Amino acid sequence: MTLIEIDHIERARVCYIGWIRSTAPSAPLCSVYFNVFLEPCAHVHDVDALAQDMALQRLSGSFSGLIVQNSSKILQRAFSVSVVAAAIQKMTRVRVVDNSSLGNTPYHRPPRVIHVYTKNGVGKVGDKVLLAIKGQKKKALIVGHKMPGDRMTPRFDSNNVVLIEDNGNPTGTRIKVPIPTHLRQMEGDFSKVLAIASSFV
Amino acid sequence: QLDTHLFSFYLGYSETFNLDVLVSLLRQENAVDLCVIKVPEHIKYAEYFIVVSGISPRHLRAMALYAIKVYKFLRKDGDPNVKIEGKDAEDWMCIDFGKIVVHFMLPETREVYELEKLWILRAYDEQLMRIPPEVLPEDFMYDMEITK
Repeated sequence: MTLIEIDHIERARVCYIGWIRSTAPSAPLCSVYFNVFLEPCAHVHDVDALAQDMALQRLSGSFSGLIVQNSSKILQRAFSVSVVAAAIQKMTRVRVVDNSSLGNTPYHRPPRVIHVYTKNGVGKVGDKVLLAIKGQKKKALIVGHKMPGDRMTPRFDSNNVVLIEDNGNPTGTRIKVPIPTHLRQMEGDFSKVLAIASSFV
Repeated sequence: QLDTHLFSFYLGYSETFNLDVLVSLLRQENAVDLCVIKVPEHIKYAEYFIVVSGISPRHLRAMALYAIKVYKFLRKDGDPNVKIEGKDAEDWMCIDFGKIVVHFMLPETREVYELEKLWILRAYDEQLMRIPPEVLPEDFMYDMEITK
């Protein structure tokens, strides 16, 4: 794992909300997308262990706490991949995005949806679901899914979910992942989740 | 209609439900630790974010219901109706008035969530920084092509 030090940020604009992605580490120019798309590109140096802390500081300063990591085992595919992009239903594996201990401690099975609280069994953004996490049942709220929704609503690369108690209070205290703002117009109790979110899309 | 309009205007009673009305009614209800945060423009959530504590769950419920009552009284045609979110949770209730969002919490709940710190410090918040950086799996699909 090498950290990327970014010297000049020439232009930044919000692209789509994707994840950390980088090209091969040996390339002199690297395109990095996380929440901000850097364009054209920055100069990339390999940072050694001594300078890693400094790089971290500078990066966290410019990008508010996000750390960019470049994996050396990046998969280079020669074919295009089209993925299943369905909404959330029973037995889908989901990603818990808040900072609760239940959502973040590793377990040998990923959290799965066992029931969706809607009339049809399909869960979209803003629906409550029942998850099986670490051998226990927990309610959760869907905050993003892979399926394209309405025009002008964000689509995420992972099915994101926020854990919720039975009385509606969120289990975690912060959410780092961007949360869609159209939750506000929906029927339901979303103000609590919006209050602990740190970024909106 | 015109008479009451002139009446409230000359006596200095507010005609719209704005921030001043809300803050004064919260003060009148003996709200503990009233905190009003002006949300910056680039966060398109609300304009003002208010966090209030109460003495007991019953106190919180009474404050929330009174705020709704005053809002309904001062509401004009065209303003949406507002409901209390979290009615069955006794320690945390919210009301979203469009431009203002109010959270009624018990002091213990407030300590746990620390909403004021998050909304003032935004990205530099302590709890956010404590979340360890996320590592995605090696074969995570970014930028996938949706066949639609």
